[in-house]
Formats: sequence, structure tokens, C-alpha cells
Amino acid sequence: MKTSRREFIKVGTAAVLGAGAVTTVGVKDAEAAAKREFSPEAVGMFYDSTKCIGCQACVISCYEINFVNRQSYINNVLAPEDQNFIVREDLIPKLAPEDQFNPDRPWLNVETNDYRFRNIIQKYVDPEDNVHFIKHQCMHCNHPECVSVCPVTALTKDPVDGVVEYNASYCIGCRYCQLACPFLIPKYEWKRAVPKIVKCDMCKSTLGANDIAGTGCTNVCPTGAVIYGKRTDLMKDAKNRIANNPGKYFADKVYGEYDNGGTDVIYLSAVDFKYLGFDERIQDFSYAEVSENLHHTIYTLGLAPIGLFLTLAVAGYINGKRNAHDTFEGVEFEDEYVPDTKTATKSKEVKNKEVKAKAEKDKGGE
Amino acid sequence: MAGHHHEYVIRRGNIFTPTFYVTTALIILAVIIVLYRYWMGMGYITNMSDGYPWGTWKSVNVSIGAAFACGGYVLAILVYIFNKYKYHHMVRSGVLVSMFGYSLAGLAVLIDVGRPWNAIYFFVPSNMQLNSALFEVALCVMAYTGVTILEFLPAVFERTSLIEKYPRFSAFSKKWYHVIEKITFLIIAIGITLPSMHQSSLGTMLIATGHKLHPLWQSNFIPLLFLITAFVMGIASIILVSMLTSKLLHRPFEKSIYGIAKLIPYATIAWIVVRIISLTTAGAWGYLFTSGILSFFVILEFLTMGIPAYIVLRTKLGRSKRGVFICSSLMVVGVCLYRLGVYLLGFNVEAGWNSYFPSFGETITTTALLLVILWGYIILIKLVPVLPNLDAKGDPRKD
Amino acid sequence: MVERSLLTPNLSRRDFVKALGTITTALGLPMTFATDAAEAASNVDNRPPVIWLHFQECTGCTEAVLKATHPSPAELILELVNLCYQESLMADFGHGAELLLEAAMKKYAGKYILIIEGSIPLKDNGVYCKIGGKTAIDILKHVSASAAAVINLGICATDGGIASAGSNPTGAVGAPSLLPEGIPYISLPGCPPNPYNLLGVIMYLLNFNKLPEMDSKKRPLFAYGTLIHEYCERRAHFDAGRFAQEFGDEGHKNGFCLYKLGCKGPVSHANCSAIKFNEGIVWPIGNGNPCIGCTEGDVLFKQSLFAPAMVYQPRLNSNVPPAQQEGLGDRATASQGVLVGAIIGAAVGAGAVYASKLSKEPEDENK
Repeated sequence: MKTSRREFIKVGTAAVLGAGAVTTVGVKDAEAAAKREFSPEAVGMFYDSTKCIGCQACVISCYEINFVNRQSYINNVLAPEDQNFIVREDLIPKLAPEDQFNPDRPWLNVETNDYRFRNIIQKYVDPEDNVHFIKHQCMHCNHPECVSVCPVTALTKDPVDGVVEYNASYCIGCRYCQLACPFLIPKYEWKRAVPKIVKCDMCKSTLGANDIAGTGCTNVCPTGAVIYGKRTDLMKDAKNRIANNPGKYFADKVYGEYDNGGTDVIYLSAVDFKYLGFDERIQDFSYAEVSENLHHTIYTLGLAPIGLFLTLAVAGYINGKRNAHDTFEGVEFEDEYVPDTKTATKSKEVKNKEVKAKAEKDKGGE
Repeated sequence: MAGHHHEYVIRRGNIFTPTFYVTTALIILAVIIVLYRYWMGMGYITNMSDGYPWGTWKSVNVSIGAAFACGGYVLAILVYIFNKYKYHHMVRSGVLVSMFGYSLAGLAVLIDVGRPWNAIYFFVPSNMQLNSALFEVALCVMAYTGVTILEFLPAVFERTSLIEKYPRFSAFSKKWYHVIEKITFLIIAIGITLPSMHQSSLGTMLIATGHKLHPLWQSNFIPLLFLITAFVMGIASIILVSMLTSKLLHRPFEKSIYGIAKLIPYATIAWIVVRIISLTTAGAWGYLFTSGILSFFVILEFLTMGIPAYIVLRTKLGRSKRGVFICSSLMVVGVCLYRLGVYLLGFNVEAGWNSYFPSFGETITTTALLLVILWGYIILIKLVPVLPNLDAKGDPRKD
Repeated sequence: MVERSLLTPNLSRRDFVKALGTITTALGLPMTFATDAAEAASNVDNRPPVIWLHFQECTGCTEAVLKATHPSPAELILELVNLCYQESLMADFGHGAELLLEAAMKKYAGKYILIIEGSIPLKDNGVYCKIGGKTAIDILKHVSASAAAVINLGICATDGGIASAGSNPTGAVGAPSLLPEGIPYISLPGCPPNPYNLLGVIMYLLNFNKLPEMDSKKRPLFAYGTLIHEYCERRAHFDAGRFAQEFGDEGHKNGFCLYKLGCKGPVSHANCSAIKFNEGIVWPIGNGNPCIGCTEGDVLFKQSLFAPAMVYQPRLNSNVPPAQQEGLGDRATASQGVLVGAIIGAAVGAGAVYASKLSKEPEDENK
């Protein structure tokens, strides 16, 4: 009897710690994460900060296409038979009260990209008073954290053109994508009863599916600071610019070539990117790789949970057999024992209980 | 079987006590706030922002609430797997706390997410995102809430079988009581597997945030640490619930918790060891004394986990009522600090966003949601047999 | 520059082509358009017949057209179009004039361009505007039925204008709602509309035999496609937040933005800020008078002249935000901290009190 009990304790220990042990194994594998390849057809944008004059035409163009006139653009993109379905409330852009028209401040005030602005121009003034502009929008990462963490696949990365898209009709509004994005891109409509996530989808939902000649922002850029094209072509262009202008660009670095596992949107700048709003803690791999590896190691084919379950079931079955006794009586429940304390004599009800309990005690003693 | 005592008793007394009224009032206030949030949008009552998108609903109600609900999990392992049937009489109150703890976590998620009706896509195969820890947590929590209800049903059936007014219902209760009794080992096995999975995945969720989580917390050991904190919190929860019940309801002090208290050093020392490994692999020792208030939180974590282990192992206090209470309370503080650290305190985006602090609405709803555990507990112990039947010494009554 | 008037109808071909070149440039049309138009106009048979009706109006739109010089009215009437009926300009009067109208309609049925100036009263069977014993509605329906295209000239003809202001005693409405279905029409709102926009539309019709591209309110995009605000000479002051606060103050004298004086530029679609009036010299905002929004039917005579416009499509403040930002999102208040502190404090306090009451004597589970 004693020995078998000890065995079961061993089995139980192994089972409970099983999940933990596998967790530790996962740590090593996460380091050796295999990098994902870019799709050869991947489209992207290339922004050269040295060409930007900060006119914000891209901001307004995007605002008009994707916010103000979003519904009519979507109607134009869809086939006529689908258009009747576009009366859903979540497609109609609506301004939060504090963003609505204010006669005292009749212009739009924008600090960062938010539920209205999918792209945004920001500036950095260096110590020599040179102004450097930067355009922020979704980077369309090759291995996006937001897609990896979205539990219901509301965010997807197109396997061909690489665009990271959002589908509000699946979204549960958990905001995990916001938590996970290292670039702080997905934004949430906090002040709407039916909120959704807002992020750049390279105008795929508004300007057209696959054959668009450009995005809202690239089409209006007067200086060609931001251009649209296949990522391979853009990367070639960026490398050419660096080769033809030695010393012009910061560290001859194409931002987005490897950052966060590589992004479809790439940047050139004359100053360090950390001054332009890119967190310097961003790594050369995607955090999604780490968490996916860890998660997959624990749940390889669901072996760990299934094994744990089977072990527990067997242990529980045997222990249950040994301690089997029919606890079901089907008679009225007895009253509980009430200790004889000062507080217990406070109310009549409790007094009665006490009397009953004493009787019970006498009974129990025989 | 003369002289045989029931294992559990129904608490005799009025449900409508002052405690009930106070908690109900707070819960109604929270319901009003939540209705306003559904009508207007959550931006009006919360301090969450695009930089800090997760607030107290997720960090306190889900992460800590689910941890506090681990009493049933720890007891199930102890009783059914490690064959300690002498603690069997504590199982029902543990399961009751688990049931309400997980229900409140689910409720908090429903309040927190913006489009809860789309949760249907958790069950649509084409929409399942197997890479997402949140997907696994959501499914496990939903399933486990159902399992805790199954685990608790025998108590309800025991009571309903006594209703003589409806003989068919009584017979139904008897029948299903025995059915559940027979498959208890399966329910228990699922009921241990699921928390082992999602308690660790609650931690895995934050690994994807990468550098946004402070290096003092960010590591690949978060899942293991979360699993251990589930044990720590489970032990503390069993002890505290039992002690507070005996104190507030003037019941005998339950002796069995001294046995449970013997587990404290194992769980807390395991946590401290893994935490040290995690800090080492993340290379975060340099931050331990240089991160201002965050350093303070981490040191406090170690203290609140280390002191109970020391008290129980090395001092006489560890075998007294006060010692056990202090140890459990410290463990609760430690687990809350660690889990809050991962979800809120250590989360800093460093991109110009004001740090998150809960608003009035969030504080009230969060507190009210935690009070749901108390509320459900004080109601159900008076309706169905949950509390252990104790004798004057605080041992289970025997023949 | 071509200097011509009604009294000097003789126009050299050279001068005419030159005038066309000017107007083409002003409208931003391709230069080939000028030569095409000249050729089209030089053929006498090609002159498009035009019937111009006046209803409830002030003849301001006609006056504006007469003040144009590229081309002058004479060039317009005699060389460019075949003006069959225009009550202000024609020599005939009385029943004779009406006979001319009937004759022109019969001769050019389905070919003539109809220009409508003024609103049409509908109340009391339209008795408030009668010409030759016929009500305005009857005339409009009669004449427009066989028109090739209709041009609604001025805010009265497009949206009812001043006659429809306030309680609208005559029930005045714009022409578009009364036109028979299927007749192509174009609206040129304004009080008055810029004459070059009318000339441009006629040129376009002449040349391409169709109406130019239009927006949802049937206004030609070449003239009404942009907001006045977009090319306003005071725009820089708006972006920088420099406003005249009242008439005659320092800001007004310094030429600051007139938005706060009620300028409707940010909501009015027109090219005034680009081509201006009186041969491109002056325009209301340039003179320090806020735009009254005369190209928007729901602004002029419907909203207060001096109330700020409701900007429905606001523009960016030209200040580019910094890349390294601070203070985004809600900030916690002290009272919120007090509430959280109170709850945690209450829990810790209760625990401490409870712990102090418990015995510290060691006990044993199995005792």
C-alpha cells in the first residue's frame, strides 16, 4: 500500500511538472528561429526622409480616402452586387466628440497616427536646426506580431502581396495587436460603442484589390519622397541611392531590411532612426518568432496537454477507486457545529443553533 | 449508518446579510458603469490609451482573478492525484471559488473587449489562430469555467435531491449525481490539464510584446513562472478562504490548513529559483537596483515570496494561525505584484504615452468583479452543502 | 489686351484667337482648345443658339457677364454664340420679343442652349413672376422641353437664392428641380458667378458637344472642384492661427485670416481665390470682406453671414508634430490614485487587524 502510493506521487509530480519542463526546452529553440522568406511579389512603400518636405499631402490624401470618403471608396472597389451590404455602421467614419468641429480651433490637430489618420508625418529638428521628416504608418512586417497574436484571424498577411489587412467583422476588440506591435501602429476607436482597429492596409480596401498603381499617399507625394512598388525593386532603388550618395544616409542603413524581421515598408534617412520615432530596442527578428516558437514547443501536436491529461486521468481513476465510498445519502443535511463563543450567543437564531449543536455533539459523542 | 456524519453542511442562516447588501450595491453600481460603457464606448470610462491598451480588467480581473481561483486546481491535484483524501472535505469550497473566479474573469473579458459578439469566431476553424496564446487562453478559460460548474454540480444535486415537492426532479438529481460521480476522474483530469495550459499561456501572451515589457519581467520563463504563481496563489487562496470563513461565520478553525501550509515553501522556493533563472537568462540583473519604482516592485516580489517560505520552514510562527495568515497574505501580495508587473507595471512603451492608471470607472468595476467571488460564495454556502462539516477541534466530523 | 465694347462689334480674327487663348489659360484647359474653339466659332453656322431667360433675379449675373473682357460681350454675342433671346440685351420688347422666342424655339428645337437666371416662384400658382401673361413655371417648362442643354446661372437659378431666403414668401426654388427629366443641365452657382466660368462652359459645349465633368451638385469641376480655402491668399494665416477677431482690428488691418469674421471660404467650392473678379484684380476676401459662400445653396442666405463656417472637411494644422512625443493619452488624476489607494489600504488594514487578533501559538494539524 505504501509503496504504490509513493509511485502515484511520483507519477503526479511528473505530470504536473511536465508542462513546465517542456517550457524550458522551448527557450533554446526560440533562439534558432528560422527566418521567414519574403514573397517575391510583395509590394511595399519606400520613404526617403531626405526628399520629404513635410507638406502632409499624404496625410490628407489618406484621411480623405480612408476616413472621410471611406464608404464611397469601398463601394467603388466592390462589385455592384456587394455594395448593398455596405451599410454596416462600422464602415461609416465617425469623429469622437473632442475631434469634432470646434470654431475656436478649426484645424485638425494631430499628434500621432490615430483612428482618423493611418499615416502621419512627424519631424525631428537636429542640433544644427536641420529638419528631418518621417512618415509613420503600418510597416507591413514580414512576420507581423499583430497577425501572430490575433486570436480570431481578424488581421491577416496576404501571402502574395504581403499586405497586412484588418477585417472588422472578425475582430473581437481585444487590442492584443496594439499590445504586441513594436511600432505602435494599430489604433483603436476608444470612443465608439462599436469600436474597431484602424491601420494602414496600403489602400487595398479603398483603392482596389491587386492592380492598384499606388496608394493614397504615394499618389500625391509631390517630391517622390514616398514611392510604391514591389519590395525587391524598392530595395534595389534604396541600395542604389546609398551607393550613388556616399555619406548622405545614416549608416548606409535601409530601415526595414532586417528590422523586426524585415518589413515591406522601407526607409532611408540622414539621421539615426531612433530620433525619428523608431524604438532603438527593436530587434532584427520579430518577437512573434520567439512567442510562436515557445508556444509551439509546448504544444507540439498537443502532446504535452494530451499526455498530461491521460496521466492525470489514470492517476485520478486509481485513486478514486481506492477511496470510493458512496457519499450520497439522500437524507436531510445536519446542522453544522457552532463553537461556544461570546459572539455566537448574540442573536436568538444563533442561540437556537447552539442548542441544536450541543445536542448534536452529545449524539456524536456516543 | 447511525452516527455517520455528512462530509459537507449547508450554512443555516439568512442570505440577506449586510455583507450581501453592500456587495450587491457595489455590483449594481458596476453594472450601471458597464451599461454606460456599452452604450457610449469604453473610452469614456477608462484611462486606457493606444499606448497602454490593456487595463485593470485584464491585468487584475483576468490575470489575478484567475490566479485566485486556483484553489480548486491545487486541491484537485492534492486530493485526486496525490491521493490526499484527507483534504477532500475542502474541495467544494475550493471549486466554488474557482467557479466564481473564472466566471468573473470571463465577465471581465466581455466588458473589456470591444466587439464581444465576434467571440463566435473562436469556434470557427478557419478563424482559429493557433499561434496566438490568447486564443488558447480564451478556449481554455471558457472550457474550464464549464468544468468547474460540472465539478460543483454534485453539491447542487445533493441539495436538489431533497426537494420532495417534485419527485421527478429529485430522481433526476440522484441519477445525475451518480453519473458525475462515476466520471469524476475524467472531469478532474480535464480540470487540472486546462488550468496548467492557460495559466502558463496567460504569461506567454506577454512574450510577443518584446521590448515593451521591461527586461525585469520579459523572459521566456514567464509561462513557467505564471504556472508556479498559480500554485502559490492557489495555496494562499485555500488558506485565506478557509480562515475568513471560520472567522466571519463563527465556525471552528479548520485544522487541515496547517497541512496545506506545509506546501508553501515548495511553491514559493520554486518560484524564487525560476525567477532567478529568468532574470539571469534575460540578463536583467543590472536593472534590479537601477529602475526606480520597478526595482522596488521586483525586490518586494522576492521578499513576499521568500518571507513565507522562511516563516514556515524556520519559525514556530509558521504553525500558528497568525503565521499561516501572514504567509498566505504575503503570497497573495507577491503573486499580485508579479502578475501585475507582467501585465501593467513592467509594461512601458517609452514612446510618449502617459503611463496607465485606472480611472474611477475601472477601479469600481474591477473591485466589484472581484467581489463577485465573495457575493457568490456567501449566497451558495447557504443554499447547497459546500462548507466542511467540522467538529469542535476543527477536524472533519467522524463517526 | 483686347479692348472692346458693345459699340465696337468688329472683331479681328487675330484678336479673337488671342482672347480665346487668354480664357483657355485662365481656365487651365489645354492650349489646343483655343485653336479648336476659334475654328469652331469662326464657322457662322456653328454658332450655338442661346436662349437666356430671366425670372426672379437682380440681373447681376448678366451684369457680371457684360463686365467680362476676354471676350467682351460683343465678341460673345456676335461671334461666339447666337443669342436669340435675352431680355436685358435684345432690341425687341413686348410681344415682339416673345414672338422671337417662339421662332427661335421652333427653328432650333433640340439644339439651343438655355441659360436660366433667377429663381422660380411656386406659391399661389406662380403668380409672383409673370412675363407676357405667362408664369415663370410655364415659361420654364415650355422653353426647357426642347433645349439641348440647360445652364443654371447664379445661386437664384440653382438653389433659389435671395428670393428663397427667410420665410420664402414667393415659394421660390431653383430651376434644377423643375427641369424635365433627361435634359442635361449644369449649375453655375454664385452671386454673381464668375463670368469666365460661364464662358468656359459655353466654350466647352461648343468644342466637345457635351457638358464638362461635374460634381454631385452638377457644378463643373474645373471651376468648383476645389475649396476657396485651398488657394486663398490668406491661407497661411489660417494655418498659423492668426485671425482677425473683428472688423477693423489690428489683425484685419494686417490681412489676417477672416475665418472668425464668418468667412465661408473653407466650405465654399469655387475658383474665386484663383481667378478672382474684375479681370483678376480683386475679390471679396482680398478686400477684407469674408466670403459669404455664394456658391453653396445651403450657406448663402441660409446661414448667418458672420458666424464661423462649419468646416466639415477640416484641413491639417501645418505644424508637423514631433517624432519624439510626450504626454499622449489620458493622465491619471490624484483622486483616482486616492480611490485605488483607499481600496488597497482597506484590504491591507483589515488583514493587519485580523492578523493581530489571531493567536501565534503553534498548533498541529493532527493534534
